[in-house]
Amino acid sequence: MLKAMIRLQWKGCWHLVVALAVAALALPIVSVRTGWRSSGEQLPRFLIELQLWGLFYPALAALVAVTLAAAIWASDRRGHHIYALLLPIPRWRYVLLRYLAGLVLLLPLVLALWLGAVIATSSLDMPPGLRQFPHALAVKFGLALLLLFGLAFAVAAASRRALGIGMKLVGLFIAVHIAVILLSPRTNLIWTVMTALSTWPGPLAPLGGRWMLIDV
Amino acid sequence: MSTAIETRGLRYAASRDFAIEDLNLKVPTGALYGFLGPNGCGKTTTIRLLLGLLRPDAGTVRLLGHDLPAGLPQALAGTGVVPDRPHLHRYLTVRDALDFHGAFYSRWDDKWARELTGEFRLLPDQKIAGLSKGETAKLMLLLALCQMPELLVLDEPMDGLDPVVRRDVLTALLDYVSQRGATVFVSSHLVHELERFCDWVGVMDRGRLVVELPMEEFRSGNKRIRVTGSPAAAPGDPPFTLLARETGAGPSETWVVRGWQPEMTGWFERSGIAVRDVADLDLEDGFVELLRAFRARSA
Amino acid sequence: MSRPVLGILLLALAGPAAAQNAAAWRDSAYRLSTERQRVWDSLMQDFSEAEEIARRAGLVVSATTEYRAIAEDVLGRFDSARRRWFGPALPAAAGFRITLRSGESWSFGRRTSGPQSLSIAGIPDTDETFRLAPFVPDETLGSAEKAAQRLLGEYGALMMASAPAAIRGWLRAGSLTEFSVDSRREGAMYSLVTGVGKAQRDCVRGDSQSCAHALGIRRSGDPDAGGEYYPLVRADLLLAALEQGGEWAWTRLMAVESGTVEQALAAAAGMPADSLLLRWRDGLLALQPDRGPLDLSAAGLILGWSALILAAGLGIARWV
Repeated sequence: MLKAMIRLQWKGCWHLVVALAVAALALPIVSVRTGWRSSGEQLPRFLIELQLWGLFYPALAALVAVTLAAAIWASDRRGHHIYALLLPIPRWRYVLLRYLAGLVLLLPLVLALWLGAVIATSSLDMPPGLRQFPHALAVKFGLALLLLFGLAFAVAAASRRALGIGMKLVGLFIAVHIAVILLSPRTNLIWTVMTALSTWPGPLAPLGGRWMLIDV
Repeated sequence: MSTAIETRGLRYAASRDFAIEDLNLKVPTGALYGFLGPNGCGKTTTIRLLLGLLRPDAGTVRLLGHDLPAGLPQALAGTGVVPDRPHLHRYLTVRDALDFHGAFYSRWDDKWARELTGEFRLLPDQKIAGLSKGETAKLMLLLALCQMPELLVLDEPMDGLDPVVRRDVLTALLDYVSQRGATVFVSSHLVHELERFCDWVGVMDRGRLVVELPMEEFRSGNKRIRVTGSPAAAPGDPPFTLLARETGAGPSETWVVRGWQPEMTGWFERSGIAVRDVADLDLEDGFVELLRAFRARSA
Repeated sequence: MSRPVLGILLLALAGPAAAQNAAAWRDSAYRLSTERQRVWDSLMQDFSEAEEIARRAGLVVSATTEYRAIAEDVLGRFDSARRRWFGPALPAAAGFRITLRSGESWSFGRRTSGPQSLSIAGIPDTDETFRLAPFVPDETLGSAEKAAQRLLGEYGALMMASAPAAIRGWLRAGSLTEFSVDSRREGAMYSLVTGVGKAQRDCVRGDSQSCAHALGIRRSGDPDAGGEYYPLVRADLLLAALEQGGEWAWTRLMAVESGTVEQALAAAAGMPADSLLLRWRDGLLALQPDRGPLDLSAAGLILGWSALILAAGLGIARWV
């Protein structure tokens, strides 16, 4: 069944996978070449440029996650999930098959990024003190993809009722935030929540840190 | 009598103005069950309830011996479904759809699937999005049949199809049923369509089951009787179901009845009513009169 | 004319001229001192609320209201850092004073507090040697660490003013203690590993001769040796030498009045320059982060959250 699901999703998403793989392959190469040029071939400035380019890795992971998750579920959503519900397997198993097949689709993207990173780092003659991290960066990208894809997948798979509840909760939170701000201007609930999410052990914490292909 | 489909006290409020009420359906195993009803009476909603696509507000559903919703995957393993609207992934080819569908059914007959593809004149490499309405209907039936199901549920399968396609669909369906002895549950609003091959009929109207009985009984028991005399003097309840009474010219009346037996003329004679003529009603007329009587009683 | 006679004659002639010059100098110095005092007084007028907070081994700290809470902590940090590098040496025997200032505080158009100050003085406290730290309008000195660092920066400048000329020239007027230890060390490490010149690369590889060339201590004679490190890196080396050399390192460095930079550094560190260079290089390379972009604990966290999110996803995908 998993093989069939992988084939199904490949048929539906291959054009997206190819396009995103090209982007993943290009990112490290472009970051190194552009960074080197913009820095005037000054290494300290080059490292700063690379640090700025590093923001594109989690951004690309987010783009891949959202795009693929939406594409995976598009056909099911159009058919109101009737085909899935009429198959002789529990609903959760169908969702799990979709998820696992989706992970398989992510592999070419991670490989593409790894290849791009290897090409990029082999194109420059770096001083011996600097270290290159093509493999570690690719693995970090893969892990970021895993996390973000899971999030996007869950939202794309959610029932209308669940999405409606989710939207209401978000609306309620915003209303509470506004009320709190009016009563106590120094309290920022949104900031508090964002901080909790993006600092250890929040889910977004691992997406921070350094995304440096070349570093000290 | 064992049943392939059984519901008890099924209730579902589809909206503020429409609800399935107290539905007690019994589809015998091996039957070719025609589920009749006018447009908007709740046939598709009922089928969705039977297949677990909707959750009932009350009542139980039992499909191939499995109680829903707990036994739904097991029940669906033996059920081939052709829904009212196409539900396939449109970017797949015919071959892709067969391969994907077949992966989920242990009894999937790949050889027969390819044979049937040829018989239905479907091109394996054609995308589903490019199929005509008739070709899509044939593909959906093909997918349902090649699962080798014990139960086939078809929701308005002939709707909008030309006679040639309809013939292809019906032939394939009847061939399968005759070879495998499967139960068929088919819904339609076209009486003559079901009359040809169904041996059981259930009539639905306004969310309620009006009647459920063997087709022969339904067909043969519906009569139009012309009588003269004073029917007001008739003693007690008649032994048949009176669907309608129309006054004619003079003292004569026309009665439309269900469940007629020839010996029931005795009841008229005892009441001093002369039976002038007993004519068969065709299925469509019988269906119309049945609904008319049901609506009159409900109002 | 014999030399001694000439000398006496010159002295006799120079005497009145010298006396005249000395008088002029004294007058101008007095005027300057008075002027400076007036400027000082006007500046300190706003700091009339400054009170002595604590004393410690030849140092005293005073502060206005906002900085009184941190003053003692600042004194402790300042003293411990300056002893680590300069031992018991002082910028001047006559004492010194360093003052930090921060501006007024305003809130919704109302002045909430006036100018604030924090001063450290070496006893005896005279105005012979003093520094008024550059005023940074938006800077607040709310943390003891930050205030101590600013004071150390000024102290380093005072100390360098009396350092041997070779050392001053070598540092090229860069500040010795301007940056915090962590910032300075990280900056030096960055410069070390990103140096693209041949000498810089060989220094990283462990060639002390190349390190010496890249730091401007000793020329290698190789025309292709390439560029040199920035003053920040040199400052880091000097401070490393002072730390290595212990309590009297600065005193030994000051004793090499007319020697080379290499001799001064070796004297301060108490070891040969090559040993110092290799030890310094190793210390900086040890500051390189021991991990790259990937963190095993982060990987574990992602796997955990992904499992949780998947479970939630399976739950909310209820289409019936």
